[in-house]
Amino acid sequence: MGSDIRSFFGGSASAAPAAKPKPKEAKPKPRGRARKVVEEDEDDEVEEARPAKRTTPRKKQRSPEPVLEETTAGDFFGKDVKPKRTEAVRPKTRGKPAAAAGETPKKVVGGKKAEASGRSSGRKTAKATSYVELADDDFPDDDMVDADAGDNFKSEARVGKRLGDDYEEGTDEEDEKVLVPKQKKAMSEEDDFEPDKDVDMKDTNVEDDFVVPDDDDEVVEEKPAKKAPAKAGNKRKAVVVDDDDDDLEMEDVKPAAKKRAAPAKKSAPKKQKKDAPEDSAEIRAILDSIPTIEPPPPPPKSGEDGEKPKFKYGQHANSTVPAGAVDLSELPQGEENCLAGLTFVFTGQLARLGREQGGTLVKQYGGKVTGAPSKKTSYVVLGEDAGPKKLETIALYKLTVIDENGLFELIKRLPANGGDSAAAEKGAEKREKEEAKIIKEAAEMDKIERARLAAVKPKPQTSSNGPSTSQSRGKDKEAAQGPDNRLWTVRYAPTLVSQICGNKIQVEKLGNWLRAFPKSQRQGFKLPGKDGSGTHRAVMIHGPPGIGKTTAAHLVAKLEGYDIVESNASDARSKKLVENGLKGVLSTTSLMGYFSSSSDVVDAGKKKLVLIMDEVDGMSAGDRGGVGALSAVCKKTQIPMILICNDRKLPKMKPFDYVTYDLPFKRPTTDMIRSRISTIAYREGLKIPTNVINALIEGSGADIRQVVNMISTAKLDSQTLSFDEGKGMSKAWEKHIVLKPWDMVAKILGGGLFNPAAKSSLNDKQELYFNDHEFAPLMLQENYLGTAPQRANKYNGDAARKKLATLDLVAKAAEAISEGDLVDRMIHGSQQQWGLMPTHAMFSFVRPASYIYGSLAGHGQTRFTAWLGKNSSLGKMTRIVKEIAGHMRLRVSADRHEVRLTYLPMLFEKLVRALEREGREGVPGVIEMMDAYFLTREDWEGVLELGVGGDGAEGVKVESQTKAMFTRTYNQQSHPLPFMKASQVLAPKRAAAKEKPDLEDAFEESEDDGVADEAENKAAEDEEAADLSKDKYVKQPKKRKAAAAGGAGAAKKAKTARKGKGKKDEEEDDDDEEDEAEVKAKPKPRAKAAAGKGKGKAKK
Amino acid sequence: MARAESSKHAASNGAAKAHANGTTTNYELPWVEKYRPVFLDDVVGNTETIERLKIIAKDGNMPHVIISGMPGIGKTTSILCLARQLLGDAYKEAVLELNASDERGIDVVRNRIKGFAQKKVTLPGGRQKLVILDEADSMTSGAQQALRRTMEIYSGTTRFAFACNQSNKIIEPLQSRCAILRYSRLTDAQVVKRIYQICKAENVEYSDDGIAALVFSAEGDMRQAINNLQSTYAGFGFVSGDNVFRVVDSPHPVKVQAMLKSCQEQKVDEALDSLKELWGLGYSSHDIITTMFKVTKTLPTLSEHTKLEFVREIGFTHMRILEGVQTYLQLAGCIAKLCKLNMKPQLFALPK
Repeated sequence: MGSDIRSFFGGSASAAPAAKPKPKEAKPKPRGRARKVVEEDEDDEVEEARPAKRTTPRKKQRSPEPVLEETTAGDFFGKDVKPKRTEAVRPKTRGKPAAAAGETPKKVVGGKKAEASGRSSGRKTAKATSYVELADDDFPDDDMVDADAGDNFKSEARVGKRLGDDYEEGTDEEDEKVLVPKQKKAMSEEDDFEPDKDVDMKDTNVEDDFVVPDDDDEVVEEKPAKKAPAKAGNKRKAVVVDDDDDDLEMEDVKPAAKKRAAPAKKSAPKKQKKDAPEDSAEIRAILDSIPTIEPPPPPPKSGEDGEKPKFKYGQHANSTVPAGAVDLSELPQGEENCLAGLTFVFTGQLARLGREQGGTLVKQYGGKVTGAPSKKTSYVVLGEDAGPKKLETIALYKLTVIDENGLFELIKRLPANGGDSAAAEKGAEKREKEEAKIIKEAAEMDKIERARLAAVKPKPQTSSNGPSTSQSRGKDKEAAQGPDNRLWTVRYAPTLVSQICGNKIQVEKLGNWLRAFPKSQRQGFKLPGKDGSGTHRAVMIHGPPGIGKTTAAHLVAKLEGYDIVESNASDARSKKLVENGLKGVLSTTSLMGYFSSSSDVVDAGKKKLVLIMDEVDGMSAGDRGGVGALSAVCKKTQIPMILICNDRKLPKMKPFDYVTYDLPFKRPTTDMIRSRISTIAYREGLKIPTNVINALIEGSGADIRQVVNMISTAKLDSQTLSFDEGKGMSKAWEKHIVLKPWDMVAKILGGGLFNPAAKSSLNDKQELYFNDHEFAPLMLQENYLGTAPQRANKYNGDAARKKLATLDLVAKAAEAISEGDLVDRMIHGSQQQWGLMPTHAMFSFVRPASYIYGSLAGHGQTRFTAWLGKNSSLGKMTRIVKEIAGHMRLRVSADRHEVRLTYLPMLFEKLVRALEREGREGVPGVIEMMDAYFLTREDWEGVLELGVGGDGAEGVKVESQTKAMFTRTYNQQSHPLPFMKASQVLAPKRAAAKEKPDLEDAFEESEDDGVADEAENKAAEDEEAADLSKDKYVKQPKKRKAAAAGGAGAAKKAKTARKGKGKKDEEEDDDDEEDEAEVKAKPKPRAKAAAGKGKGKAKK
Repeated sequence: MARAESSKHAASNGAAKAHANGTTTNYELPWVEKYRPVFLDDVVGNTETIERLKIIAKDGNMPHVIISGMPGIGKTTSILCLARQLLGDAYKEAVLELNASDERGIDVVRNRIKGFAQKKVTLPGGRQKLVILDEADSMTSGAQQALRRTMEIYSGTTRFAFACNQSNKIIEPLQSRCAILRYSRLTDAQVVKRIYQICKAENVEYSDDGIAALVFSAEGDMRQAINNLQSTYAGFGFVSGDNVFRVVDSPHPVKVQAMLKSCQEQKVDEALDSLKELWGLGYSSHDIITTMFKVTKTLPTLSEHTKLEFVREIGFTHMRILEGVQTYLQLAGCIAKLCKLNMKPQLFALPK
C-alpha cells in the first residue's frame, strides 16, 4: 500500500481515495433487503480478501467467548440473517423497521432489541456532540488500523527495549517496493481494501487533504525516546504486507470479491455522515454524562499560526509514570469489554495513572489506545504538559477530552461489550468477521491435518466437512489416533509458506534466490539480478529467536524442490570438520551419489541440494576455525547455502560480510501473529480473548514459538485465559536475558525506575547492577552527565535556578560515584572484600542514578565507558615515565613523579622541539643531551608521547628526513647505558624455531599474556646461552638491523614465529584469534580494570 | 500410572510414608534428603505450577520446561517427581539427568545428550524420554546453543527439563523453546506445615516461637528451614526461638528493623538500646551491619531517598568494620549518624 500513499502524495491518487467511502456507505442505504446484499458482500470480502484486516479490530473488542461459538463459516455466509447470531454476542437487527432507516444502529444487543426502535429516534436527535461526529466517519474501520499501527509500534518499541536487543522490527521499505507489481495487478480489488488500510487516506478523502498525515508524522516525531519516526509508516505497510499474503492464500476466490465489490463502490459517495450508526440513547446518556474537561489551549496560542513553541523533550520523557500513582487495585472495575470500539489517546502526564497503566487498563476493557489523536479518536485522556501538537489536533477536531476520572467513569458505567453504542457495534461486526476467518482457517488446518492423517493412517477417519466445535473435533482426532503427542510448536508449525507470520518479503526473496540459483550458477555468479542476490552463493538469515527463521528456510527449500542437508550447533563444526564434512556435499558431482541412496524414487540427477547451516553464531569454543572455514566455503560452494543466526552484528560473524546475502528477519507485528494464534487456540478449544492474545504476544516480544508454548501450557489446566492471567503469564514468561551495559545504564537513568509509581524496589535496582557488575559503575560514570535530571524539573519555570539545581544534583552524583570508588578499592584492591558488593552496587550505581535520573533524550547513544581505554593509556604512560626516570637515575635524584612534572617539559623542549626547530643541525646536540641523561632512542619517542597540552605529540612536526638521520646517527654511535633490561635483549633465532612445534594454544596463551611473558622466556634462555652476540648493545652494527626490525622486541618476534608455522595455518590462526578474543575479551578488561583501578581512578 | 495412584496414598500419609522409605539408613540421612518429596502431591508450594505438572504427569506429552527460582524451593525435586511419575519403571532408561557435577561441555551435549535423544526406548503412549539438566545456568552458552536444534528435532521422542536459579543465564533461544515456570518463595505457612510434619515424624520437641524462628530465618527456603531444624534438634534437642537463632546465628531482622525505625524517629537512646541488646547477644559487628544493610533496603516505612542515605552511612561503617575496626563504638556511631540524618541541622549549630 505504500505505493498508494506515495501516489497519493504525488497528487495522482485517483483510485485510492475514491474507493474509500465505500464500506461506510454501502451499509446504510438499503436498510431492509438490499442491505443484506451489501452485508453479504462485505462478509465475503472478509472471507476472501482481507482477513488480515479483520484481525485488526478484533484485537480488543472480541468478547471472551466468540471463538467457540457455533457459527460456522457456512452458516455465517449462507443464511446471513439471524438464527445463530441472535445468541452471538452482537446480534444484528437488520430487518428492523425503516423508521430508523437512515440512522438506526444496525445492531442492538440481544436483549434490548425491543427498545431499539424507540431509541433510535432519540439517537437521531442526539447527534450533535463531537463524539457522534467521530463515530460518523466509519470510525472503527479505519481507526482501528490507525490504532493498531500506533499500538503495535508502541508495543514493539517496548518489546525491543525490554529485550535490549538490536533486532529490527517490523517490515521495511523494501517490502513495499517488492509489493508494487503485485498490488497493481490486483488493483481493482485492492481499491476496495484501501479505505480500511490506511487512515491517512481516509482522512484526507473526507477532510482537508494534508492535515492528518502531517499530523501523524508530527506526532511520531514527538516521541523521540520510544521510536524511530519511520515506524508508524512501516507498521501500516506491515498490514499491507499481510494483506498481500492473504491474497495469495485466497487467490481463487478473488474474482468473486472483485465483482461484487464494484457495485458497492459505485454506490458510495453520497452519504457519509448520515448513515453511520449511532449510539442508543442509553449509551448516549452515559457518554454524555462523562465529565469532560476543557483542554488547555494549544500552548502559546500563536502555536497555531505556525510559530510553534519548541517541545521540550526533557519534560516529557518521564511521563510514563506519574508521581502519585494509584495501585492497580484502586482502578475501577468495569464490565467486560465495555470500552469496545472506543479509541483513546493518552497525552501528557496524568496525575494518578501511568501512561502504560492507562494503556493496559483501556486494553483490558477492549478499548484501543493510539499514540496520536486523530479524527477517529473517541477520547483524549489529558494530563499535564500535553504536547502542543496534540493539543492542536484536539482543538482542530474538537475531540472529547477527559481526564482520568472520566476514564474511570467510562469504565464503571458502560455496559459490557460497549453496549450498543455505534462504536461497539462496528467493533463487534469486525470481530465477527474475524471470527469467521479464524474458523475458516481452523477448518482448513483441520483439513490438512486430516489429509496428513489419511496419508499416515490406512483408514482415515471421516467426519463432517464443515467445522464442528473444537471439542468434538478433538475427540474425533483422539479416537482416530490417540492423543497427539507432538508439541504444539511442532504440530502447528507452518506447513505452507503462506502460514509463516510476517517477513513475507524476506521469505519471498529467499525463494527467488533459491529459484535463481542454478541460473546464477551458470552465469558464474556475475549478474546481481533483480534484487542483487544473484552474486551470492549463500544467504544469511538473521533475526531474534522464535520468529520462524529455520522454518522459513526449510519450507522455502522444500517448496523449491531442494533436498535439505542441515547442520546445526549440535554438530561439531570446527574448521576441519566443516572442510571435510562439507566436501561431500558441496560439489555437484558427488551430489549424485549422495542422493542415489535416498529412499525417494525421484531420479537422482534431478534432485537438488541445499545446505542449511543453522545457528551459525552458535559456533563456539569447540568449533575452532569453523566460522572462517564456513565463510570460505560460502565463497566457492556449488550448492545453495542458507545460514541462520541470531545476531549478525557479532564480531564473530564478520567473516560473512560481503560473502552472504543478508536477509534480516524481523519480529512480526502483533497483527500478523494474532490470527495464527487465535486459530490455534480455536482449534484446541481454548478461549482466549483478543486482548489477552495481544498481551501475550507483546509480552513475549513477538516470539511466536513462545506464545504457542504459552497457550499450550495454559491449555493444560484451563479452557480460558483471562486478561489478568494472560498478563501474569507473559510476565512470568518474560525472557530474562542479561542486560548489556548500555541497556542497564539507559534503564536506570532514563527508565523511570526512580519514579515512585514505578514500584521498583531498591533491590530491583541493585539487581540491575549485578547484570554486569564490572561495567555498571563505569558505564554510569560515562553517561551520567547526559541526563536532564528529573529532580531539577520542579524549577522548570526558572532557567537559572534549574541550572543551579542541576549542577547541585550532578555534584551529588559525582560525589556518590567517588564514594563508590572508595568501596571499589576495598573490593578490587588488596583486601578483596567481595562482601561489599551490594554496598558497591548502592554506592556506585544506585545512588548516583538516584540524583541525576531523568530523560536521556538528546544524549545520543549511550556511550561505552572510556575509562578502559584511558586506563590502558595511563598504564602505558606510567611505564614510559618509569623507564625514563630509571634511565635518568644516575644523573637525577628525582623520583618518577618529579621527573614527569619538572624534567619532562624541559626534555621535551630540549629533545623534541630542538629537533623540530633546528632540523638536521640539531641532531648531534640532541644525541649529546640524551647521552648525558642516559636516554635511549626509545626514550625519545617516550618523551614525545608524554608531551601534554601544546606540547602534544600531534603538535610536533619533525621532518621525516631529520628523524631518519637522527635514528641513523644515533644507531651508528655507541651510547652510555645505565643498565640493561631483559626486554632489550634480542632472543636468539633458535628460540623461535624451538617454539614452532608448539600447539596453537600455547601461542595463543603467550600472545595474550603479551610481551612480558615472552621477554621472561627469553631472558631465561639468554642466561643459559650467555651469548654476547645476542646482546643488542654489544654488537652495534649487526644489532642495528635487528633493533630496527625488532623495534618493540619480543612482540614482533612472536609474529615471526607464528609465520614460521607456515602459511597454511594462517587462516586458521586468524579465526582462532577471533574465537580466542571472544572468549577472553570479557574477563580480560575486567581483570585489568580490577588491577589498575585503584590507581587509575585516583588519577582520573 | 500405578505409581501415580500410589502418590495419593503418599499424599495422605505425607511424611510418614517418606519416613518409611528411608527407614533402613534412618539417622544417616540428612532430613532434607530423607523427606524429599517423592510424588508431586507432596511438593509444597507453587500450587498452580505443581498442578500443571501433575496434569502433565497424568496426560504425558510434557513440553520442554525451564523451572527457575530461588534455592530450596523444590525445583529439582518437582522435576524428579515429575519424571518418576511420568515414566515410572522406565525411569532408568528414559531419563538422562545431568547436573553441574557432571561434565556438560559442548562435547557432552553433542555426543551424550544427542545420542540419548536418538536412542530408542519403548515407552507408553504420550511419554517421551526426558533429559534433566539441573543447574542449567552453569552451562556454557556454547553448550546451550548446541541444544537448540536438538530440542526441536528430537522433540518427538525427547523432552528437556531445565532447572536453574537465574533464568537469565539461559540463552534466549532456549527460553523461547520452553515453558518457563517460575517458582516463587514458599510462604511461611507452607514451610510451617512441612516443618510440623517433619517434627511429628522425627518426634522433635518444639515451641511455637522456635518454629516461627525457623521459618523466619529460612526466608522461604524449605531446605534451609529443614536443615536448621535438624541442626537445632541435633544441637539442643529442643527447638525454641533462642536455640534456633543460636544455630542460625544472625541477628534477628525484626530487632534490627526496630532499631532502624527508632533511628528514623530520631530516638537515639532507643536505637542504642536495641543495638546494645544485639551486641550483648554476641553477634559480631559484621553480622549486625550486614543485617542492617539488608533490612534497610526493604524497610517499608522509609522513603527511597532516606533509604539511600541510610545505606550510605551503613556502607561506610561496613567498610570500616571490614578494615578491622570491629568495635561497638563504630556501630554506635553509625546509629547516631542515622539518627542525625533525620534531625534538623539547626540543632547541631553551636549557639552563638
